[in-house]
Amino acid sequence: MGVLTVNNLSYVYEGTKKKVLNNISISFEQKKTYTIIGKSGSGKTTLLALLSGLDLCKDGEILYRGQNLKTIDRDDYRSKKIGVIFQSYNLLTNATAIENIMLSMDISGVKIDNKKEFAYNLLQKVGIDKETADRKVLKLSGGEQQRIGIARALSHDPDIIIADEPTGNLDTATEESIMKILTSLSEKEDKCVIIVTHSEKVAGYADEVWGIENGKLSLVKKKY
Amino acid sequence: METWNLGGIEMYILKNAMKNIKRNKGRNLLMAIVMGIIAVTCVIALIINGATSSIITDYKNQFGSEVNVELDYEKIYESGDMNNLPTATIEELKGYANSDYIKDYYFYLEAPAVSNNITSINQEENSGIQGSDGAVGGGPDLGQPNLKVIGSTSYQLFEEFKKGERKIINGRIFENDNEVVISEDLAKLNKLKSGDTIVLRSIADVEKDIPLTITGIYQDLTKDASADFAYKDPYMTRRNELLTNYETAASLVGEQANSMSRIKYFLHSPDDLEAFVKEAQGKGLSEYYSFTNNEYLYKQIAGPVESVQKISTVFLVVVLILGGIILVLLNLITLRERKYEIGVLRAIGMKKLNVIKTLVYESIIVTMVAVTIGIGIGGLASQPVSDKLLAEQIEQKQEQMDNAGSNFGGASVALPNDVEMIDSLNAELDLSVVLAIFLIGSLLVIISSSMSLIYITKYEPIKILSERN
Repeated sequence: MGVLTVNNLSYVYEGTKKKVLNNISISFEQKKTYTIIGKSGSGKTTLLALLSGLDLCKDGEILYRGQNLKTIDRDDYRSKKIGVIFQSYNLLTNATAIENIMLSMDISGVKIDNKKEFAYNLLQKVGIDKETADRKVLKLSGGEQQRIGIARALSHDPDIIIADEPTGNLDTATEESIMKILTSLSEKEDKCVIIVTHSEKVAGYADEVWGIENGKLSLVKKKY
Repeated sequence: METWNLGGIEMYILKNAMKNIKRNKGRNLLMAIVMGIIAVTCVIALIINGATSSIITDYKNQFGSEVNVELDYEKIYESGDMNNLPTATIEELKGYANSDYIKDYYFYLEAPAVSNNITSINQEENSGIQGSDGAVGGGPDLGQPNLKVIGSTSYQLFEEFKKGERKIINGRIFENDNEVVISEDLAKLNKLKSGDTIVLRSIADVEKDIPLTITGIYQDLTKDASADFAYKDPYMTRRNELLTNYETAASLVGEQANSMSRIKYFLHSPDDLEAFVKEAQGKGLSEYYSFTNNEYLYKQIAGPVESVQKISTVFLVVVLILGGIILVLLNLITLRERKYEIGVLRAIGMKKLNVIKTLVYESIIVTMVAVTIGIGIGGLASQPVSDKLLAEQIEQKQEQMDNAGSNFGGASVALPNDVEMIDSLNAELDLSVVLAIFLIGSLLVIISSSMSLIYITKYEPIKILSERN
C-alpha cells in the first residue's frame, strides 16, 4: 500500500460545472520521485492542493497511510506528515531564513536539543550558508528562497514532500541543483517526492511521470 | 523527533508574537502611537470626568435638594388680587414635609426682642435707642429691639456650629421650649450663667413678659462685624443672638411667624421637586406658593465644572471614535501583508486557534505597552489639563456674570459671601480609571486584530495565498 493513495477523485470549483479533476486514482510510494506534468489549467495545482491538505475533496478520497484526509486533522497532516514546497516560496519575508525554519519546527512540535544548530545544518544541506541564513528572506534571491522553502519542508522530517513548480521561477543552473536535492530525498532519505511541473526537463528527474489532461491522470513514463 | 508539550506551544506562540512585533516595527510603532494617544486622552478625560462627577453630584444634591418655600408675589400680582394673600400655617407647612419625597425640613425664624433687665452688647454706646419709635420687625410699641432670638427646627442646622464658628462652652444646647443659649460676651456683660432665667418682651405681646431659661453659653469665634461701623446696632450684633428652638422663636412673633419664617425642605433627590409640589398642592397648598431650589447658585458655582466635564466627555467620545476609525484604517492598510502571513502560517500547518492567539498576543503586547505609557503620561498630564480647562471655564463664567451685571445697572453679579466658585479639581488617577483604560485597551485589541481574525476564520489558506500569488 502506498503512503498516499488517491481513489476516484473528482473536483469541481464552486460555481462551475467543469470537472477540473475527473475520477483520478493513483498511489504514491516512499523512496520514489513522482512528477505530474500538464499544461496550465490542466488541474495539476488543484491536485497538489488536495494532496497537501490545503483543500478538501468532495468526490473520491485521499488516504494517508490508509487514513482518509477528511477524517484526520489537516493542520497536523500539513505540519507533521508532509512538507510542501511552493512555486512562490511562501516564506515569512520579514523573518530571517533561520527564523522561517525554526518557526516551522515549532509549529510541527519538533523537540530536539539544539534546534537552531539543526536548522543551520538543514539550510547548509540545501546550499544556504550561515551568513545567508541570518538574513531576511526579502533580501535573498529566488533560488535562495526556494532552497529555504525546501529546508522548511524538510524541517520536521515528513514522509512526503510535495512541490509545486519548484523551479518555475529559477534559472537552469539553480533548477538542476534544486532537482538534485529533491531527487536525493527519495533516493537517500526514503521520502516520497511528488513534483507538479509543466517542464518536461524537470519531469525527467522522476521515477514516474504522470500526465494530466482535461482532468484525467495517466502514466506517461516509468523508470524500471 | 519528539513533540512539544502544551506549555511549549504557548511559549512558541508568545515568542513568535514578540518576534513578529520586532519584525514589523513600523506597523506596530504606528499602532502603538495611535493607541497611546487614545490612552492618554482617555485617561485625562476619565480622570476629569471622575473628579467633576463627584463634585457635580454633591453640589446638585446640596443645591437641587434644598427647596425654599415662599409666596410668589409676581404670580399674585398677575392674578390682580393683592388684598387676599394666601396663607399657610406652620402646622400645614410641617404637614407637607410628611412626604416620601422629603428627607428633612428646616424652619427658621429671627424674632426681634427686648429685655429691660439685660444689657445687650453695643447697647451702652447707643443708649436711648431702645424703646424709641421705628421698631425693627414691625412690632407695635416694642421699640428698638436689643436682642435677636433665632429659632430653628434643628440644632444641626445651625450652620455656624457645624462650621465651628460657634461652639457651646458651658451647659448644653436647648432641648425644650423656652430654653435658649446665649453668647459668652452677653453672659459676661450681664453676669448670667446656665440655669438663669431671662425675661423678654416681643412683638407678639409687648405687655407680656416671656421668661426663658439659659441652658448653655456659646462662644462666637467670628470677627465682630459691627466693630468696623460707627453705628453699632445691638440687634445686628451676632453676640446678641439668643438661639432657641423654632417654636419658642415663633411664639415671640405670634401670627407673624408665617410670613417671617424661612422654610426649607430637603428632598431625597433634586428630581423629586415636581412630584413634591404636586403632592403639596394636592394636600391644599395654594398655587401662589412657589418652591424654588438654588439652581441659579448651583449653575454659578458648579457651572464651570459642568462645562469641563462636558468638554472632557465630548473629547473622550471623539477620540474613541476617531481612534477606532484610524485603527481600522491602519488595519486595512496592513491587511495585505497580514493576510499573507496568515496564509503562510496556515499553509505550513499552524492551527487557526494558534494563529489567532499569535495575532491577539501581538495586539495585547502592543496595546498594553501603549496603554501603560498612556496611563503614565495621562496621569501626569490630567491635573494641569484640568486646571487649565477649569480656569478657562471660570474666566468665561466670570465674564458672563460681569456682563449680566453690567446689563442690570453696572454692578457685577456676585455670589453670596459664604459661597465660592469651585476653582480646583482633584484630578487623581484611581483604580477605576485604570480599569476603564484597560477595558478600552481590550476594545482596541479587538479592533486592531479583528480584520485579521475575520480572515483566519473565514478563509482557507489556499484561498488567501492564491489571492496574493
